[in-house]
Amino acid sequence: MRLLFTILALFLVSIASFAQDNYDVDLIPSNLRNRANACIRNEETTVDMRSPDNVLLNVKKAITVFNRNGEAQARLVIFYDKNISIKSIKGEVYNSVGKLTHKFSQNDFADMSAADGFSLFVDSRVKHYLPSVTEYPYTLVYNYEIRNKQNLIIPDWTPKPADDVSVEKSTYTFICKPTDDIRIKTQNYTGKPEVITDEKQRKSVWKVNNILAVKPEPYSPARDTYFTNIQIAPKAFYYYNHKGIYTDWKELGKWIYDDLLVARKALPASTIEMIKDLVKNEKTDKDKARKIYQYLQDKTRYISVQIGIGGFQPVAASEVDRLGYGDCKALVIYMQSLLQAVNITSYYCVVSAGSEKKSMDPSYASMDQGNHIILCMPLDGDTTWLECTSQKIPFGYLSDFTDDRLVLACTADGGKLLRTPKLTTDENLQIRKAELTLKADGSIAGKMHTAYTGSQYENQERLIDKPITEQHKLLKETYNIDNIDFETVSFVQKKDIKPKLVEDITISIRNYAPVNGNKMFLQLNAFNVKRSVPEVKKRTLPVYINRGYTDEDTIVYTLPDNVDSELITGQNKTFKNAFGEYTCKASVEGNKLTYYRKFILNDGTFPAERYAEFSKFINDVNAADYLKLAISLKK
Amino acid sequence: MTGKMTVDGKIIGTLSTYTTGYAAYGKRKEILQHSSPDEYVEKLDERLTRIKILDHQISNLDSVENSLEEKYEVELTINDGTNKNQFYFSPFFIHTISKNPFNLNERTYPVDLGAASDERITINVLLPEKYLLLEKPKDMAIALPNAGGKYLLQTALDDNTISMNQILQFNNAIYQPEEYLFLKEFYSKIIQNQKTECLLKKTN
Repeated sequence: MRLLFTILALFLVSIASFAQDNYDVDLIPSNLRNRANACIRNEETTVDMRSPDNVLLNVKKAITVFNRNGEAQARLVIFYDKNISIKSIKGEVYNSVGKLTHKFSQNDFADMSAADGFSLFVDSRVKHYLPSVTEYPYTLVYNYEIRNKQNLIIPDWTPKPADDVSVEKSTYTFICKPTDDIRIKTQNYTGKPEVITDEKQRKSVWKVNNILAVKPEPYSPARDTYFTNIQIAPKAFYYYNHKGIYTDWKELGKWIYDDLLVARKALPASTIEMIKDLVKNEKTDKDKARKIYQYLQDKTRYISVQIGIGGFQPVAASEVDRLGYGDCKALVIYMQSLLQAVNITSYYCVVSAGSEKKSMDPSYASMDQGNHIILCMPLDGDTTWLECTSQKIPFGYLSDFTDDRLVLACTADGGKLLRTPKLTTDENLQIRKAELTLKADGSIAGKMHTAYTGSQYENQERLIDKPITEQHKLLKETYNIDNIDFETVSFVQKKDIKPKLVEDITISIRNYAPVNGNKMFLQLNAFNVKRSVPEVKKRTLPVYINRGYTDEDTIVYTLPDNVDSELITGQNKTFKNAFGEYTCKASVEGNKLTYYRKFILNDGTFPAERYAEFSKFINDVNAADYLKLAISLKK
Repeated sequence: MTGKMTVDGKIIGTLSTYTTGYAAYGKRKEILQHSSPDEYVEKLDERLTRIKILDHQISNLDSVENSLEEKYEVELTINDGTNKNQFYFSPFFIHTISKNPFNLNERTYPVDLGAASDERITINVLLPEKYLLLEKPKDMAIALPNAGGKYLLQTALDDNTISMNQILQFNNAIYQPEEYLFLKEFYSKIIQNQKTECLLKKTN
């Protein structure tokens, strides 16, 4: 009987190893090769939370790379720092028929600082490895184990890492004690995990099979809003000698406030006195805050240093006071302390910054959803938001970097989710008026006035402090027209909560409207042509327009005497739909030819099947923007 | 490109491109960045909003000693066909030059184009009926100083076929700062000419 067991066991082992070892590329089903540059044959991610300061991550992965474009997916990258130790890495490379060609270990890895390029110093490091294989396809098989000495951030699971990767099989296993309290965020995963509990541990397993590679689609929602993803947050956590408990934003915000912020707020008495003196003539809290904000902008500048808990905890406000620099956390805590000196309440707010709007998930609190800090002042209902890392940004204006999203305000009463103000389609304006004289040879010259507000306030902001020669070069990028030249350039900013930037330029464009025989060809819309968007067949994802705006251009051309203005026919086009609105008009009165263009793009999410309508709208606008008149000349 | 214009303002035809040397290297690289040539063409078709690619064939992608050949069956929309008696038509629908890459007034450093290049475009379009060519872009022959390059353009109407021949040649890889303004003016002349169009009138 024992013999039989042994034979059976051997048999099982050999089957198991056969199934595991056969990396012949021909075994990949053809639907997984379609549009794929790489295919994850099998991935097993196991997270074993043995204790809050001992979380093991074990990853076994076999990935087939079909061509050079898939190599990015094959690169094995492991980030580590003082909180993470790499226990083992080993792997093998197989050729297209599944024959082992070579093996690698930790010694083959390049090890470097994971500096992000703008920080002065970070303590994260990275080990990475990519086999030098030139014959495709090949399969990379590896296994690594790392130990996390914290459980505030648990490695999550995204089985399909990119559009051009297909997944044959992927599993995620999370092991903890049966008594551990955890919260799970499940996105785009059908079914329930398989849970096995015994007296020692509770094991939850998620599985996916056969996910196809897809083609990237323009104007899609953020990837992390629809990809299959599992995230886990334990209730009781440990992180760099800090311990805490949270299950919602209120508790997490409370912990951040109590453990990471409170002790950092103290300021020297002399600074407090100085601030009190600074605002003694200001009547309202808002005016006081404006004055203090000006002081902050004049005194400090932004630098980034992220070390250990320093990724979440600001340096002390008194340090910023002494040094005059800090990262976003430090500058916000400093500003908050300065405001507190004159009894103005403000909240330290964690936000996910970037032009693409990303909110904190109201139903799932976790530590890694933000990447930036801003300050919120309730001011008795006149809520005002401050971005503390810029020396130039107007008081109370957040820009498209942090507008319209849920942020976590960390207060003494606990965390609260607040929404930052939205920059709306009606306020994101670019209003242009130009008066240009067309000469007999087709050259044009004149004045152009453009006002930018809302999210468009920053369109030309970078030009302001530049020397004049640089301004001319940058203007030539904005107004990329053959032979364009600028005589005078002026910018005026109204730095307000609703800021405005006004650009006044005098331009000349030699031979803008070429003369051919007795015709002059004039493209009316010289400065603002909407780019076309691809026409996608079989659209699968919703159409997402992140932010809306309104552009209005009025150009009055004074025509030369040699033009037969009576022969110019007026033009008028209007399109309107859920995505926006477009009007362009050309009309002649005497020797004045007026061109008017208005384009409104609405923000929002629209069903996938309306993409064709959207691309037609934008491409109709693009075609109409090239409206060209063939003007007859007098003989 | 050889094609036929239909009465409803479309051109249906075959666009053949032969690429060699560094230009072929660049194009091969671009095509190979997609998981298959079909996907490359699909993207191309989506991007060219005024051109529909009905069929395609790409050969010699892997044999670098031969010229890379691309053949596309295309459909282009010229106008909506409402004005059949007289209409404007731009023959510059392939590799239109509308922006001047040299827009500075002064130049300190040389211009490095990477390699000398020669691009030739020939278009023949058969018109649906008898037309007169009332206006057309000026035929051009311009050159850069010291035989640095040239641009030739010729359009004609012959037996209901409208034809366009264009050569754009750069003989050097590197141009000195003092040649910059010549390059700028060279492009400017091309851009001005490409803004003008053919005016066709139906004859009875």
